[in-house]
Amino acid sequence: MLKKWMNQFIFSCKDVSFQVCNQGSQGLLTRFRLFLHRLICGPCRDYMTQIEQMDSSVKLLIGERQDQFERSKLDELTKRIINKHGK
Amino acid sequence: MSKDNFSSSEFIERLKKKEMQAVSLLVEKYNVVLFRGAMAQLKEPVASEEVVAETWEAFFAAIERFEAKSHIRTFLFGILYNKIRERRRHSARFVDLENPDPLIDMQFANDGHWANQPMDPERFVGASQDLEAVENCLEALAEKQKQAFYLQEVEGESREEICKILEVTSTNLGVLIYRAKNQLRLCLEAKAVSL
Repeated sequence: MLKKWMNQFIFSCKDVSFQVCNQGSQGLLTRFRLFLHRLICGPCRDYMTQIEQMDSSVKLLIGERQDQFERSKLDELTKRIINKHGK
Repeated sequence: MSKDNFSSSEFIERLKKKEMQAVSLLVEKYNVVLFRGAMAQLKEPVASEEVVAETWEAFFAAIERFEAKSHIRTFLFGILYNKIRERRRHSARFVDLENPDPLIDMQFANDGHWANQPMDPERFVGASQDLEAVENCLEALAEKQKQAFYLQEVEGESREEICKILEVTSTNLGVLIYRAKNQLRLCLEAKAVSL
């Protein structure tokens, strides 16, 4: 009964999963509906936590990739481009 | 110099004249940003360096025609991603935005509730902290999904700017991000099961 009501008046879990991935682009009402759903739906809470964990891992990975390339080489590239294109 | 000043008409004029100080300011500010963006897509430092150099070549060749309708950073990322696309033209995967994604749909029943409930985050965290697993899953994403995800989550670009860079509508961007995150999540769940 509660699930049916949630689907009609708040969100379905599928809607929640879409909104969670696109946070920052919603209006106040959508954010409030999302908040309500988060309070009462356990699997949606798990889903949101997973998405947050994943986002921070990707940021860490990309930071590590950049570290593979020596800073001095990047400075060299910067100088080369400036000297080539600047007068 | 703030991000906004790079798009001032005075600064653009100085760039069109290839004034050394203006060129230095711009390249010093954005070379690292572009390199990081290239590394996120290509993984290889040498290939990334080449693509960044090509991006600057194209930028300075096109600066005469730049009308400052978009931010200079948007313009640079647009060129960068075109260069990456050119490089990958033969291996690029088609991203179908119109049709539903069966992988995502399988997660939900017809009434919109979970058919397959997400894994307990405590189990999931093991796979998400294994950077090799994250890397493999990230590589499996279609190019545009990866770019949208990177620009939003790592670079923190506004949705408006991302739409301009990737040449997609706001709705399509939502779908790209949604699919990227779900494919990554499902891939990492599968890795967590095998841990």
